[in-house]
Amino acid sequence: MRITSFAIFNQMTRALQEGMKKMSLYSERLSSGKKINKPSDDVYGMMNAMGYKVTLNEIDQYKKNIDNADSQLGLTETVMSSVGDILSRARELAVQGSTGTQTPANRASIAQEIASLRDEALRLSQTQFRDRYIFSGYKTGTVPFDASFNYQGDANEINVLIDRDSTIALNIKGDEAFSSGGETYFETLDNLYNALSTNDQTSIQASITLIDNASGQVANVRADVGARMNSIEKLKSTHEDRDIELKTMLSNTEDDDIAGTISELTKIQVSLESLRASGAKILSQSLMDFLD
Amino acid sequence: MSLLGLFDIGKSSILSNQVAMNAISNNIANVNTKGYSRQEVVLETTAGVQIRGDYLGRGVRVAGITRHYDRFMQLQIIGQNQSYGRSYSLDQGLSHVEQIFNEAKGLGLFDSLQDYFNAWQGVATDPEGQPQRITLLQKAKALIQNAKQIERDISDALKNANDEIANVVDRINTITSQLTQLNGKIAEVEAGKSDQQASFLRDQRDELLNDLAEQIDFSWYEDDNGYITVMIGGKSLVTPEKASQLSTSVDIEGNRSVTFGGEDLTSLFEKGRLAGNIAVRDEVKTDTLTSLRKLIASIIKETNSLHSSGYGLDGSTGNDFFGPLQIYTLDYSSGAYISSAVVSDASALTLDEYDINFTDASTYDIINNTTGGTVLSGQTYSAGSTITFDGIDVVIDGAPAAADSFLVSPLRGVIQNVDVAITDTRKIAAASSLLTLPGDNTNALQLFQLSQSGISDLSGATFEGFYRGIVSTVGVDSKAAADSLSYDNNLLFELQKKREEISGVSLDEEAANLIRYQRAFEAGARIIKITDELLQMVIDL
Repeated sequence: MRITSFAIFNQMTRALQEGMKKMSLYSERLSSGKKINKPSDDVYGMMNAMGYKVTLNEIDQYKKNIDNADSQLGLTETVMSSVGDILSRARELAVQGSTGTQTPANRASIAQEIASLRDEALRLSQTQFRDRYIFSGYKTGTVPFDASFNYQGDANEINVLIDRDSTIALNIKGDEAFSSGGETYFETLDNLYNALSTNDQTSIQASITLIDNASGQVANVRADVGARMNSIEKLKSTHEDRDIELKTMLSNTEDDDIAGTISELTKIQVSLESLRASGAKILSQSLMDFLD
Repeated sequence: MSLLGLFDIGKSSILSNQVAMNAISNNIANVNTKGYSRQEVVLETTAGVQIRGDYLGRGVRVAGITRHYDRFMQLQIIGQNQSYGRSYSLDQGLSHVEQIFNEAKGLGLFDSLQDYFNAWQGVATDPEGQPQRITLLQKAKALIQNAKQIERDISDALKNANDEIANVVDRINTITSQLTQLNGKIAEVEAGKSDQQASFLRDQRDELLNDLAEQIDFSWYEDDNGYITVMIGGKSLVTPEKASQLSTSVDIEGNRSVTFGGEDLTSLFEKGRLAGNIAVRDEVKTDTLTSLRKLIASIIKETNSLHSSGYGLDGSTGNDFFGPLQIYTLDYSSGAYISSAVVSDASALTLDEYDINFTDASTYDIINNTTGGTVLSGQTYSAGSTITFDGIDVVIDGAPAAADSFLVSPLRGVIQNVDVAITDTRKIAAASSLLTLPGDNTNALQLFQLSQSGISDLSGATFEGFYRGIVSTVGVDSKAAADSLSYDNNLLFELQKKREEISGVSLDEEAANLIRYQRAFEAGARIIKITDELLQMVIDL
């Protein structure tokens, strides 16, 4: 085989080019921290990475929805707990008012407290979350109960996605949260107020049972809300686990092994240096130098 | 044999070795000349005289000058240059398109697609929330802007490819006219001399052939007079007499085609930069661009279909979210034209492209371009009447002729024309019924869930899955192009190395030869000197 000066020169420049190309590839990896810097670097890996990102984005959305649902349900729980307190106080007062030793004047003053409990309960039913009534179903701009205690909302539940194909209702309908046996708590308390005011002992007695029913209903609603909060809490931790798992997979797919790349880069550097050194020697040598 | 004969021998040695040193000097001078073939002087003994029945030579003379050259190697290099040219242009074009979809750097449509559907989810979570509604409109606009930008970038890439086709054709025309000139010179120099080749002209011509091979695939042969003929697609581009010019023409869609003597040869080319650029253009246009348009069209179609069934906070319904899909048409006819084309039934629309082909002046077929299937066949034409198929109403007017064709597409103009039609946030239809306002989020929820559903127009893929398919195709194509470029480049390098082995100049070798011939020259001179001394001696007797 004949080797010509040009062939050696060509071979040398080509080898240098190859080395520089690799250098640039590895330094791009190092500067981005990623081993996939364009689709053709690893089409399959890129497709996987995009798939992971889609799922991560979904999970992120579900987690936000869960947090949002958690706030609203938490608020509902607080409201219902206060309603429960109101009802127990009302029961205490009703029992007190039903005692035969009470004077009509005493009953009248008890009636005043019942009236304020009734108003407090009505105020609680008008609780808003982000400026919207939470007990009105879809009619979030409408006060759930009017002055004559009639339900103004509808029977709809606002559902949000908390997982693929899985939703949770954010709200408890007002007529479910604030009435039992077809009678709102406000009516029950209002009737008690009237009985106390008119000194009607039989009606006072009767309202104790109704208040007990109402407390039972409040307990049911709180159990429902609690169960919802529980289930989304569990789902949230599942989402968080999946989140970590997917992020690990994503990182394995697209992130660069920096230590590995640096060691590759060093290898290339060494080989380029020796190539340059040997190139300088070989290319400058010629028999011409020895002619005189 | 006389003593004076020695002078002649010495002289022949001086002259012949001088010629050899000339050749060596020329080799050295051309050590870096591209395409140069090393020359070597061949010496031979001058016919001898008979001495006692045996022959003794009478000095040396130049028998010829050899051009170190391997014709077979040159054939291989030309072939490889053709492959290399195609790979080079493919790699250039496709790696550019790949950058448009470089999701690794956050370019492309992926993020804005996700943002758009996330915004619907935001509206679903808080159907009355003004910020969520404003966000939705912004994200929808961003998605459209992004798609428009990508389409513009792709159009630029297509324009580049089309411009490149014109440039390559210009280059080819320059080369072929130079080839014709060289053809003439070589034949002139070599006329009647069987052993003396016009070496440097041939080197130049080989270089031109190499250059031509990088541009286009051709076949060629050399005749006995040293003329070469270059053929493309069975037609002679360069003949001993003349070079014919290739030309290009642009159709109504901006596609450049290559013609030769009025005949369109575009589909004929398989190699060279010409074929590479044509392949880039066709691949990007039919694959990438059409898919992108289809994706956007289906997002518009599905969003509008759900959105118009829902109710805005102001109680309005039947509103399109994006501007409605329009029909784009192209007339390949001189006597007839499409006077109107509209979507008559959005739900029946397929998002495929159609051709209305006239078999004669009064009969036409409708072909689905995408599936290749016949939608309607043997229909009778009547000017100005409405043709209805697959949710599209088309009206053709005028006098069509046989072989006239009309393109009907819901895709072509889709990205260019689309915009978000909703401007009043209250008209965003998050609710499914007038009675359930304002808290009803079910329609918004369904719109979000579109992003998770298989779309029948996209062969059952989700929007995101379909988009991933586009990126994947772009990536695979670009990778394949880069791989074949590197393969072709390596192969070309190996062939050039082999050519170098035969035709290249080695300075060491030339230096050694220089010493050899220098010594011979000196010895020849010495013969003359000694002969002179001998003659002097005889004279002095």
